[in-house]
Amino acid sequence: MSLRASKFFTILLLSLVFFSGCTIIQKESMNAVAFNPTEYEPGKSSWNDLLADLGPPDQMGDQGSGMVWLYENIAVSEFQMGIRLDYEWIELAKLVHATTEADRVALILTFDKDRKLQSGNIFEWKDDLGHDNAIQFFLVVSSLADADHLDSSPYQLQWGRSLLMGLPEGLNAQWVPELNGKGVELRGTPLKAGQHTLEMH
Amino acid sequence: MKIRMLILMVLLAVVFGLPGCASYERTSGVENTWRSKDVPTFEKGVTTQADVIKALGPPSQIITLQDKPVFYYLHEHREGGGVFLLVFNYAKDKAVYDRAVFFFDADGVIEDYSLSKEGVPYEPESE
Repeated sequence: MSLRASKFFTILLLSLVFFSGCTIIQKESMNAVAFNPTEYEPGKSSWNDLLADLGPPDQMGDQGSGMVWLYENIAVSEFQMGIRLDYEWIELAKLVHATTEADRVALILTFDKDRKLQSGNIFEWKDDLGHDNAIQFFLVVSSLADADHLDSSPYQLQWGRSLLMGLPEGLNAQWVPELNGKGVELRGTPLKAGQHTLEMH
Repeated sequence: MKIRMLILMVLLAVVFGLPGCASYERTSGVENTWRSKDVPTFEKGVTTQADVIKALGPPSQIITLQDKPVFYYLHEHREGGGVFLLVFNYAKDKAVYDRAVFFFDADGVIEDYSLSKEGVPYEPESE
């Protein structure tokens, strides 16, 4: 091997070892939400038209004498940059910095008592889920951000679970919008505010 | 020189020879029978709650909207995978929710129904 090739491989190896642990973690859940407000007219468009165009909502609930539908789409991306120090046993660990954000889309449709569209609003925003640092074993690849609250199982699959809840969560279940059908709730809503406060988390 | 070459080869093997790949797939919720070819046709104003339950089984959720029942069927399909190469790692997880919703009138006859645009191919569970 020539001296030039040897230098090239040495630099390559050093850079590979030093800048190790770059990680991208992506989580997509729910489904695409496509809604064009100009296609529908409040007071005239019927729920049947919206159901046919948009498909089943993610959540539905009563709202006054009418009803409310919620569609949601969430995509979580986490980017990690890891650095290893090439020094004795320290090289077995890597310093990791992670940045995580969620792209969110929510569509809320409300209907009057005759099931005519009352309002339809689509919202798109980014949630900053945090910037985290960690020291990990250099072979470990794991998420540093806590995004479980955006990735929980749909409420439809938790039917009857409220009957098995402990106190005081069980007592409050009949007042939680997504469990009693009297409204809807965005995913990731903090449990230490609003109606969930009574659950004493 | 031979020793250096050997060390180099070993180092290269360690860096590039320890990659890992992973993939997974899982489902939860009810079976998405509504995607089956054998499922009967649902007709507005004709099909009843009993017909729907007979065809699709118990719903994931039954709710009441404006004093009228709604059956909500949900099938969750989650798949993902990753490539772990020491230097660069990539992992992806995607969940698709195949849904069917049936709105009934007060007499239990279908007013309207809809299937989600995103569907998961129906795979009958083995008996």
